Amino acid sequence: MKAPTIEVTGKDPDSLARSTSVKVNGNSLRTPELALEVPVRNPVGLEVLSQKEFLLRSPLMEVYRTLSIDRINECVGPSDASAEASRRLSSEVGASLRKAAERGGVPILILALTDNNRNPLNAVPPRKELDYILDLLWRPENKIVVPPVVGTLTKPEQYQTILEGIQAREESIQERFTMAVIPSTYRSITEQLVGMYWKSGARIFAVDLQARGFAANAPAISLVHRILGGLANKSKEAFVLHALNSRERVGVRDSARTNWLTGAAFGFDTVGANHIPPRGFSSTSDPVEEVAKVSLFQSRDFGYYSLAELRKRKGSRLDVELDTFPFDSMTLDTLIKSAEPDRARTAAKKHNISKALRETKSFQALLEAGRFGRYVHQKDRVMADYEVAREVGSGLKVKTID
Amino acid sequence: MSDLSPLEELTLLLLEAPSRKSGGRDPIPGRTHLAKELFLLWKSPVFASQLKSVRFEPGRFGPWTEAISVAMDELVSRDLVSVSTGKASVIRLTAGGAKTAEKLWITLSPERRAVLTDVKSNLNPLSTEGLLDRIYSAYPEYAVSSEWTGSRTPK
Repeated sequence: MKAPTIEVTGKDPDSLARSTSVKVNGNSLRTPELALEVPVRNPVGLEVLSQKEFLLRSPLMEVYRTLSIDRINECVGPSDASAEASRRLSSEVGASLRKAAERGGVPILILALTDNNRNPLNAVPPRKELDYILDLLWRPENKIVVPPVVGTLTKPEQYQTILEGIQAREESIQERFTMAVIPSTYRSITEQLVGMYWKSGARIFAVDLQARGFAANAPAISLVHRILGGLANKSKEAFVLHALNSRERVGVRDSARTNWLTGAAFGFDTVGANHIPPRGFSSTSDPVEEVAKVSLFQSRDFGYYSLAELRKRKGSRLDVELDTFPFDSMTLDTLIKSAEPDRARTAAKKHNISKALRETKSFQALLEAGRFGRYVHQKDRVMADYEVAREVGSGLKVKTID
Repeated sequence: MSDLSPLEELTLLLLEAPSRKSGGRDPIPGRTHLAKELFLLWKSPVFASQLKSVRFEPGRFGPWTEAISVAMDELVSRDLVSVSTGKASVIRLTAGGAKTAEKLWITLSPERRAVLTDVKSNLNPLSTEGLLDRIYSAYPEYAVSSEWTGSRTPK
């Protein structure tokens, strides 16, 4: 497997945060960085990236598709209808990958396999279906191959089957990077899984956070760092760590705060969007049915405030930050009065991505100047999360490599 | 002793703790009960240092932390705990979980055993409404985001 060139340019002495310059297929990726999503409909991230202030950024662009077993079977059958279904799927992901590349991003195709109730498959698909999935991943527009995300497997042989499929394709086409996905659940297998991919040459890894926050996933994150740090120190090589299925924010209402930006403190070089619905009986995402409940990220404290709360604050000592391009042509009041939740959600998403991209950009400089910890610690809403990140960092006997 | 996180260990220990009424290892009648029992352990000075990386926050049904979902997924995937779903979910130890929990229980001080038994015996028998009423009246600061404001006045 091909390994990217990684140069560490800065480190936070108290946590696992670092800044790097990573070369992937001619693109130079500066980290910490957000990875943006390219959904089928309304790819807001692409629009944000085309804004003048972000033109020089080359983030990972996640083209994430959930494929149910029925959908896969529909594509692999011998009939003309199957051939057509396969062509449509292939053309759809190809178009998304190309769009991402045109905007200057590094496209990355992630295929999550589920049962027909949209629960993770938790199994390796049969050979024919697996071959189909791997062929789909091996398309030329996809620069980093992510093994199919199948949920949690409990036997190393199951992962080995997938890895062998990847290696067989690498024999003919070698110009691909591989990003190994480590599930955050079932830590009993983590060491073997990371070791298996490391041995085969993978140096890009992802932890699948399953739509939960970084602090909640601290046991898995700490373990992955310990294993990767040990392997990297031994072989004097570097690795890149990506957060897959991370949440944009955690907490409800008054406690809502950014999550994706705290990923840097937990040692993630790149942090992706969440693509799976939150689970659990007390999901922390607010169902947004009213415009006034749509939330905007405020970099002052890394909090997420509803439009209604922001309107209350207007004119107070605390200035409301509406300093992004969606607000060039609209005010908070016109947005609230629009009575169109979809319009408000899209505007908020553009604002939130823009603000988060600005913050990650400043992280790079702060890390290089050794001031990252002090900066994040000033953000009231994430101070406690940063403390957990520091604990994860200080608890590791083997730190990540430089 | 194990590679389980402190929250995972405490979940097993709560399931292992004897019920004062039956004397046996009673299951926990759902995630809401589990969350509130773990919350009281987090508030207890006896367990606070063990859970310092956990942070409970006001959620839709009172104190909550996502770390509980993560811990439950881990315990279920390791076949230490089972969750039966139906009208109400019931959380219980599997045979393997009972062995692990027993080993953990033996190492506990009498004080810790007493706190675990107290918390479980006091909260387990309550209905969900009774449980929330009790937690909300003792810790109103964790009820501020609740969608449930009392047994007779749902929002």
